[in-house]
Amino acid sequence: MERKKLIIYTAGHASVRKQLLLFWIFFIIGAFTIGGGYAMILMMKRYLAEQYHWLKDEEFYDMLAISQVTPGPIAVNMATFVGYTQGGVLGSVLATLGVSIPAVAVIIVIAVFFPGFKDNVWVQRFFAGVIVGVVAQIATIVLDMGKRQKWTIVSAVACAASLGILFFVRQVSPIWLILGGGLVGLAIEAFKPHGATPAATKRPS
Amino acid sequence: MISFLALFGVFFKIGMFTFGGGQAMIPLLQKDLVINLAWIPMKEFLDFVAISEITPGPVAINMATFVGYKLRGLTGALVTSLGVILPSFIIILIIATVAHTFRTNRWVSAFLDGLQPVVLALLIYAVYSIARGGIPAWWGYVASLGILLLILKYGKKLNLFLVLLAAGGLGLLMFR
Repeated sequence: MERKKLIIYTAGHASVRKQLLLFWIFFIIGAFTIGGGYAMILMMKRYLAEQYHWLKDEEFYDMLAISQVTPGPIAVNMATFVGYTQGGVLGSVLATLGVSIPAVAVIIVIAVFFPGFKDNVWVQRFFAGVIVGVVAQIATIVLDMGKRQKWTIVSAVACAASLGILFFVRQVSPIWLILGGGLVGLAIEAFKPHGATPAATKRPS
Repeated sequence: MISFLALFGVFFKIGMFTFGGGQAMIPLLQKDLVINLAWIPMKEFLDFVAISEITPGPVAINMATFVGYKLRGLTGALVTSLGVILPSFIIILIIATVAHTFRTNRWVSAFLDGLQPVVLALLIYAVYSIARGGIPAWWGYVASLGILLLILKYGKKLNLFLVLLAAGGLGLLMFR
């Protein structure tokens, strides 16, 4: 992929080409992912970490975690975050617009021209099929994330406990779980013997 | 007539205070729009939710556009969409300006490490609840597993958009 680079730097020290690419990637993801923000995660990772190598895997997952702790739609949080780190304020605006414009446009078209859209049986069948694909894509992210976890007794317990709460307590806001996880992380750091690496403090039971 | 400022305010507030993504906003929107303000009848609200879930894009933005359009036309749709996007945008921008120090500070780093297993649990739960709410037949689960194996086997060579389209096509043929 040898290409002449346009060397016109913008606020985020990114070339015009990169800024446009930021918009385009998020636009495509916004336009073709049905099922909300979770369905977009795998595609974002594909583009950002694997195809363009703008982010390392760990950075991607850090941003994902932060996008979950902060309020608002996860897709918008991710777009703003990635956009800012890659292209400054302009990049964040472009990426956010990219992921949002398709959502706005599609709904306006439906509201104006196709008010009976969702009652169409073919639409319903198509969507049920897409969900099958979306579930597989989120499961892929689950496996990938699980694989690169630094698994320790504490993190395994934290994950299992969160699952238990999600499945059996219901009606609990994810923010409490996430903050709880963060506090556990802080507690481990606080009680860690000085200078020890996280792995060294764990012993197999 | 409902003022643009009021429209903007409702969505800005919900964008500002809802944690856990767009899905978590639906009950709050319902409480505000259908019950407290009575701008939209319940039945219509549920239609909006159903359509937002089957259209591209973040559900929160779909919902905002729908409500804004319904109440104040095109301008209304832009006002509500901006309202729900801006809080996220501003908050993340503030966080992102200090992001480069994230992994250099041991406390922030420890906090982030602590988040990861919980985020993983949330994703596992998302798989469960999306599958349970949206896959209508047992073989849909089998197909889902098949697609998962395909993605794992072919990795980057597989176009994920085509995978979704193909899955949709499968739905057209098979779901009755």
